[in-house]
Amino acid sequence: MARFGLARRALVAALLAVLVAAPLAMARAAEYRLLHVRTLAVSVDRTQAHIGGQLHLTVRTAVGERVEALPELILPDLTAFQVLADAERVEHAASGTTFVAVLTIAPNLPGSSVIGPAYLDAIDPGTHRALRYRSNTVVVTALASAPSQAREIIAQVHRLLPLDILFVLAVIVGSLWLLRPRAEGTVAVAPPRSEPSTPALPASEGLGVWVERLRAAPTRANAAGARAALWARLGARERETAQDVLGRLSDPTGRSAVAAAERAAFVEPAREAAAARDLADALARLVG
Amino acid sequence: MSLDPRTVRRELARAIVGQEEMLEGLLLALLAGGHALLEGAPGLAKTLACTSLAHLIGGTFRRVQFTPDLLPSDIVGTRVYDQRGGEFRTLLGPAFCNLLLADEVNRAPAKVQSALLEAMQERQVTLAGETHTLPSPFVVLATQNPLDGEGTYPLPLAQVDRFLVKIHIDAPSREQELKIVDRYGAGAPELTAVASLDDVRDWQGRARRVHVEPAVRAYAVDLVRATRSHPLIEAGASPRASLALLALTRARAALEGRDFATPDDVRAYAPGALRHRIAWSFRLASEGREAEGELASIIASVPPP
Repeated sequence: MARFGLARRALVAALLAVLVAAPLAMARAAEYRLLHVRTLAVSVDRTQAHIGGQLHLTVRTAVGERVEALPELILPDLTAFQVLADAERVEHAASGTTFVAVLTIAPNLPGSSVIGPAYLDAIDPGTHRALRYRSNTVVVTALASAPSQAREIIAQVHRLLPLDILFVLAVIVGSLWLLRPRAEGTVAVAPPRSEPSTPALPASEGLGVWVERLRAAPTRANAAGARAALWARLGARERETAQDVLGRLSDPTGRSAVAAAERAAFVEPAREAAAARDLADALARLVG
Repeated sequence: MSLDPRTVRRELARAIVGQEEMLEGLLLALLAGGHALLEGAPGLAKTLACTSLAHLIGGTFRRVQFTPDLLPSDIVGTRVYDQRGGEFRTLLGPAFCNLLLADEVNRAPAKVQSALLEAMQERQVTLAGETHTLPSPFVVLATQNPLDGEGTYPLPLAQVDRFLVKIHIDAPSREQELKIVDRYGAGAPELTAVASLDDVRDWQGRARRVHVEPAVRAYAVDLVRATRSHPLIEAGASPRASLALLALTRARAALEGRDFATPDDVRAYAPGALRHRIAWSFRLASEGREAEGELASIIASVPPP
């Protein structure tokens, strides 16, 4: 009964937080930045958990620019979960910026729940149109009861922190998350557009779109985007290089696509167009 | 159209079983026109690898066994009085060669090490006011033994920084050791020159022309800079390390037959370019950590482009 009460209060807290943040978010809806969106993906460390059991949801976003914050990112709806903790990490590299948000969540209802997609609003550098990028989704199955150890942990938390304090904390955490400071230098554009305007990244069907883009504009920027989509398709993990990917890839079509992607991304500028066209051909063979 | 440098790599593998990192490191030093420091226990084919490489490229080769009583003139040369001619004559030292093997470089005193390192850096030697240019290519392959510390003069960080790459040599696996026993049981394989010095100069030219995209260059610099903010490092790698890493990057791309460098080229030899340019703090040893493992973590923490 106590747990049900906690879940209900957490749900109310999340709704309150959304209500507080919504007017501000709408006021800023007309502001978007020019961003090369390379990756937008959600993942969980396990797809099954008991009610009250913890799992980690990771939202990974990579853009080609150096930016300090990503206020345009809209996290997945988590009304079927309690958000127990959140952490954010920003990594700058020569190739751009990667944002990693890790949320510790616990299902509060039995059955399967879909998490995602996460959204990101930005201006596409290729077309200069405002687009809504959409991530993949993941399905988490909540089992009816938590194992005894987990129950004990939850009971201890309940003993240490009264429910009212948890309720207030949930409201504060939710509000802070949604009202994070926004970066300067945004570009004003037309109001939001229909979705999905661009392919979901890093979904595998995205490669077909990159083939078309590369054929229409065989540029380094498109080659970099196609390379990122190929990496995602091949299940590359963070900080992996082509050698890591090739190490577990036996399919010759995939291997030649990886080699073509490296060439297109790093060859001298005088030959980048030819290399980008070769990459388009290699990706077309891979997509079949 | 000159020879493919991988031919030398294949021939080296005929003489040396395993030790891929050492063989590739030696070739990269050659292609980049830099010097290599090889560190490993005795009997791990360090000297054999160097002599084999010298045979294969057909250059002049000298070997100097560094000892505590060695003098700078034993390396660079000296002026001697010729009684018959009644004048001083210059005798050039063993440094005047294409490939100089400085065996157990840490056994000679600082004055000798300094003379060698100056020659490595300047690629010329001055004797009695007269400057003598060293041949091209000129590559020093120095070995040192991490054991037997007694009676050695460890190279200071500023001097060891002159080496483009430091290669760690580990003991071979059981299978490799069996192969070594089989191969050398019937006598050492005979190696003949498969390349010329012109080929080497051509490879070096190719390596210099390898295109490195700004993102790849930035990755190399980020890797080096990451060593300067690590809590277990007292002094991180200098900007010379960035230059060395990029030279190795270009050389590796050229060795692979490419005219552009990739992030893998940077990452592959980052340990070799950085390990001797870092001063680890006392905490590393006191916490029982391994420098190689920590360096690998630092390298892995920098996202590639």
